[in-house]
Amino acid sequence: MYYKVFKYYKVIYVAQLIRMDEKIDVKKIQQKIHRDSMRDGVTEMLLGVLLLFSSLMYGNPGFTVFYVFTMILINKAMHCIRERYIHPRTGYVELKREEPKTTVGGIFLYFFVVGLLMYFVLYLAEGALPSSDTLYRWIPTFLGLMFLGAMTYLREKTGSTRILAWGGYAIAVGLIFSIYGFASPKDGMTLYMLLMGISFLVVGFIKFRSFLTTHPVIQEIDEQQWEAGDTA
Amino acid sequence: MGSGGHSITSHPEPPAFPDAKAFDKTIHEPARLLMMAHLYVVESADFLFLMKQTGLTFGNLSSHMTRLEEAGYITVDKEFRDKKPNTRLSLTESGRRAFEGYRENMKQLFEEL
Repeated sequence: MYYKVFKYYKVIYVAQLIRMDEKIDVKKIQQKIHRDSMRDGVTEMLLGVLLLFSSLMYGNPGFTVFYVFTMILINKAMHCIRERYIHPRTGYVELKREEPKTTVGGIFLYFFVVGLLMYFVLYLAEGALPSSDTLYRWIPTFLGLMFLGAMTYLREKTGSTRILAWGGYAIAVGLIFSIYGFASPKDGMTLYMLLMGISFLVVGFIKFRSFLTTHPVIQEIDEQQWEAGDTA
Repeated sequence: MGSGGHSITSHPEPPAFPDAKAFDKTIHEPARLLMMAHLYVVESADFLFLMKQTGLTFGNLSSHMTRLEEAGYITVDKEFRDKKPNTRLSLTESGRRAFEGYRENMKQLFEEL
């Protein structure tokens, strides 16, 4: 009897400890925080605007001035949007800063490896060193693979597999554009960035609108208000 | 052991019981543990963010925040932003070490089980 009671008590105690241990699964917590921070659609909108302006600049160098202005202003604009619309709904969090050396190094390594592999595949397919026209033609696929890399990184950060759909979409569009082949190889790249930019912008905007309706503004109250029972 | 005796020593030895004393009592409380875990993975967060993430109420979070601040595990900066109160929390170095120690204890305990 004594042993049985002890055994049950131990089971309950261990179950409690397991629950406590689950609470401190820091990786899961970190992924949830990253996931939540991407629910507002602002990241997609930012990416959409950058791609849109990149395509405009690439299609018409006269847009370079606007592009430079956009690059300067976009961060400020996104900061204002977050301050005005996002933080009053989710609260403010400063995420851990990553080692820039590691991130930049990883991006360049991926860029280099994918570029090299594509060059090798094109060389095998053509039986000769690929011409500049061929290289331009396959840039959309290359960009698609870049997106896939970025989305795989974000999948690891957020724990959300859904994000990989963007990578799949980017590669599919890239392949279609590359296989189709445009009259001017540069057009393929310009249109690719334009289409991806619009896609990100539209999805980002829809997410942003939905975020605003599903997340009401919450406000911190001070101790006097709390004591007075004002918990709104 | 005697044949007719029924002493307590006749019971088989119970398995080792996890030692709860090894845990830091300040952290070994679900709400505070949750707060510490959230602050551990970010640089800093404000009161609203923690309320949303942990699901704790204002009063609950406020009292646990005070306990953790008194223990020196977190720093609390109160300010007014756009005429609204804003409380920013972050883990101190000692809080970081305490949380890591707690996780280590927990890990060891599960290995012993």
